[in-house]
Amino acid sequence: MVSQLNPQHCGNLTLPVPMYRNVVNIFSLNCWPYSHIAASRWFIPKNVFPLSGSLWTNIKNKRCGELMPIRQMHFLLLLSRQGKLRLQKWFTPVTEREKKKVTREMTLMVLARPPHSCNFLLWRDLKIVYKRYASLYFCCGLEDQDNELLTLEVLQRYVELLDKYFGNVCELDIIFNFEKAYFILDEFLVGGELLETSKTAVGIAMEEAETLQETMEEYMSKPTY
Amino acid sequence: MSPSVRLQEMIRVIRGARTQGEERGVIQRECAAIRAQFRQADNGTRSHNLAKLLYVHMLGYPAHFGQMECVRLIASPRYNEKRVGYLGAMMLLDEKQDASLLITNSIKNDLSHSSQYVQSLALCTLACMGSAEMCRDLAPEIDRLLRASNSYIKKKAALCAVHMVRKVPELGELFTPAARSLLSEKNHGVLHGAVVLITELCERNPDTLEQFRKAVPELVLMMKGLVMSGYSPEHNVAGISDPFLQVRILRLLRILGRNNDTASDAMNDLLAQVATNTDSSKTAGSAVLYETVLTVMDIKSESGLRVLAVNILGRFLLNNDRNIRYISMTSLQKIVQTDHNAVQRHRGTIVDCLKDQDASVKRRALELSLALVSAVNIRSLMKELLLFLSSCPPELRAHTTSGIFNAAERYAPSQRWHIDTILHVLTTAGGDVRDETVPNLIQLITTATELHCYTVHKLYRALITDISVQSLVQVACWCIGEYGDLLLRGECEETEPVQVTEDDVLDALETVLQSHMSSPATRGFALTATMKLSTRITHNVDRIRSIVSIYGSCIDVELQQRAVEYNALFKKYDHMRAAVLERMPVIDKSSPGHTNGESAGGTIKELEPTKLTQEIVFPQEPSNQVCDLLDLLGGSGEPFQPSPSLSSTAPGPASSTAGGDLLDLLGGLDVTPAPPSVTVYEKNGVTLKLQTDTQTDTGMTVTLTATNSTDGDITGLTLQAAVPKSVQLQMKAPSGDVIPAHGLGQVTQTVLLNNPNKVSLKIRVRVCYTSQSSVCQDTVQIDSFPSTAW
Repeated sequence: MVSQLNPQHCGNLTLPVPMYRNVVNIFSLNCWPYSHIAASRWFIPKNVFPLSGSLWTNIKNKRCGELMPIRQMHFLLLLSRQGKLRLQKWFTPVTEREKKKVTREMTLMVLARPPHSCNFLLWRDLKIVYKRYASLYFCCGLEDQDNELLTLEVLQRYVELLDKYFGNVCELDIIFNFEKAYFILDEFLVGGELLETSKTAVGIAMEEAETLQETMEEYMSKPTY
Repeated sequence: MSPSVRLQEMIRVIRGARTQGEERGVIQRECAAIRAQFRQADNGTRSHNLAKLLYVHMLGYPAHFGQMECVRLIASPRYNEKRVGYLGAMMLLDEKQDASLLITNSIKNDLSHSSQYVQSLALCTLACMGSAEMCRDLAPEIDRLLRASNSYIKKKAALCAVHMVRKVPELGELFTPAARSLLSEKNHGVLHGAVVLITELCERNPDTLEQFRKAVPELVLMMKGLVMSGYSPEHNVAGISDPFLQVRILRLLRILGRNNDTASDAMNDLLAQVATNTDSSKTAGSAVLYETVLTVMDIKSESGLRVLAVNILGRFLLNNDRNIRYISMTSLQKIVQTDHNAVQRHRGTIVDCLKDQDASVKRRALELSLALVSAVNIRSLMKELLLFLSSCPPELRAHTTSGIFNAAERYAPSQRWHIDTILHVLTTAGGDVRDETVPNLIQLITTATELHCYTVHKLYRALITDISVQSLVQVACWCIGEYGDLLLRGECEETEPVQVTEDDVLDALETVLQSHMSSPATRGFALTATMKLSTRITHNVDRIRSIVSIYGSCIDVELQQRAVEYNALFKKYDHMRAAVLERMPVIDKSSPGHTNGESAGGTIKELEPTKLTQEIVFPQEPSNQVCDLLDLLGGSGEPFQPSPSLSSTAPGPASSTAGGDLLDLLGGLDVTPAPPSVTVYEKNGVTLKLQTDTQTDTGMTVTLTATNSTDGDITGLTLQAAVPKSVQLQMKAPSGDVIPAHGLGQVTQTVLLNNPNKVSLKIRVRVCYTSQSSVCQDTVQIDSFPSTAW
């Protein structure tokens, strides 16, 4: 399977062939290959261990995760009860069309779940962890290797951070101050991984960053670019 | 001054719009205003406008004209503008956009900015959407930041390095030394980032893995510190001190300890301690325990620890929280192959979970139950599964039916039980079974000779109740056609006989023929059954003759062809009719035991060269006996040719075999004697044979058969295979992993190969087994294949 690269971006680069070709091509570097996932299932046999030797393709046993790179969260979406998107963070490169499609499917799937049901779903080779807080559904797409229970804790922590910053956060706060919500998220999750585990550090960082926000006089006195 | 005032005004206006059209109008006006503003000289409102644009983008409207503005804002010296600019870059730009390359320089400058918050903006953006090119350019900067900066920046740089390694794996070597030194930090954020980075490096490069194995004691100490530490308000979550870091450390330990005894030994105590001391009443504790269990199962842990881990999973199964039950079943699924008995102990609870309301839990419970089926518990478990089938959600039905069939196939205690089970499934969920169920069931019925009477009575009853389930109707028609005389005789030991007359039977068949619910294949079955009855009944032969001649002008070509041929059988070839339509001989499957994989001598498959389909078993290989009959017509061999499966792929072959191209059919049948099998490995009494079967011009099926001529059973047999890069390989499940002694049985495993580039095919097979309690492992390379290869 050849990973599909936009030739304009390749330029003179030859991208290195990743070590685990068949597997990495599923999550290939330049595109969101959901369409590849169905095909790539075919390529991964059970009962096969990688044999050393450069001639041979390394075939992974997908079930026991032997030598499969542990990846990160793929996306985090906040959906309202009416199905509107309130926040979206994508940690892998995805086209606009694909984003819309995924968002639509998530909305359909997650909003249809009855209350008190299990918070974990399987969708298209990803695990989906969702949690409902008041009128918002927080929805995460995870890799097969990730720990779902921990992700629930991550979502809980994010809500607590929002709560602390906004003071009794509700959906309207997130709607009208969405850029703040993003800033807080960027202090908490980076590249799909957790950045800060301390409860207080994120709040402190936000406060300090706010002090850097200039007043109007300072603003106009700085030279523009 | 925050950019939010005017932004909030706009948001209010948009939300106030009552219809979609109104909203679109508002947004179009705003976007026009924003575009105009972008073109103007700077007036202090650029960041507001971009923020407005980002809101509009989140609602789903196009916002690509903001990309260049993002680039401009990122380069601005004002912090406000930079912040919004970077946010815009993360939302609007990704590595596919050309504009993303333009921000590389700005990021580079910002990485050396005096303010750490500006640095952090750059790092965050780079980690979110940095392309491979940008990563290569900026890697040295990140390395510098990893070493010499404050902890706020170090933790961000660590995650940025993780992103870079994912994009460009060679950069791993650059970051390895820095990563090592980060492990001695005190700040939890930095530690967490360091552990993530090291995990990523070790996953990608086995040499780095070796290097970091030396860090295992350090990690163990770190983890112990976390577990034993007192209450820390900053990191405490429900009584667990920093569960996030604990889980990541456990995951890293898992990778380091895998397949390595020394590292695993170093961790044993720690894992036992964590497993016993962690309080699992809340999710955080359960998350840590879960990760511990996964780690224990993956490394070479001692058996006591494994038992502890399985017990934890068992405890999780009884938990009230659905999430915890779900993940415990997920983990049990992973270990059911290796620790089968341990999981069997919890079978009762798992089966109870089948009745849970939640669909995710049901799915997990189903998969686990299917994995737990064994010869001992087949009857009770099958009862539960059949109960589940009647109430299961529609998306799980197909999976359930195929699972039930596989289990029944492997462990059926008696033929009658097997037939009953299949019939039960067909009546409950006949619409969701696979196509090859019909031929499989027919083959099963023919082999159970003493049960013909019983079967035909049951099927007749099912037929007169309901003719909507196609698979059931097809089997019923076939049986009635074949064993109609037993039905009419009106006596049966096994079940209460039903008193029918020939007219009743013919009425039933005719209903099927005329019903609009019947598919064309089903009608074909019914017509042929009617025809077969002409030799088994005495009085109503004229009725049959008239039915057959009516269908001679049927619109459906398949039916018409059959009817015309049967008509000919009545007229010109009446003297042969009895011989042609006599009772079928017992059909046997050529491969032992299971429906997975293809039988080595698949003859009728030659007629479908189209695609490499899995698991088509054509148990009717009436090649020898039917050949004579085929001399005349497509013959009575046709009706149970699995027309559903054939018609799903190519209607052509089905109708052509119905008598049109006799010569092709006979030619097809002649071609394959069983393909030669080559012995590729022979040692310690274990013989491995290889048999090839070319399906298409690039695809091939290889069957590996293992036999054992020693005095003791060979257990734990596993076969692994590797092929050259351009060849694609798919291995099916083996028929078992125990080879009985003295050549009494064998294990087969099918491998599907696809060689689109037609490279010379080599396959390397590794055989592992336990013989007389010693483990043997051998590798065999096969360079040349028997003649059916390319």
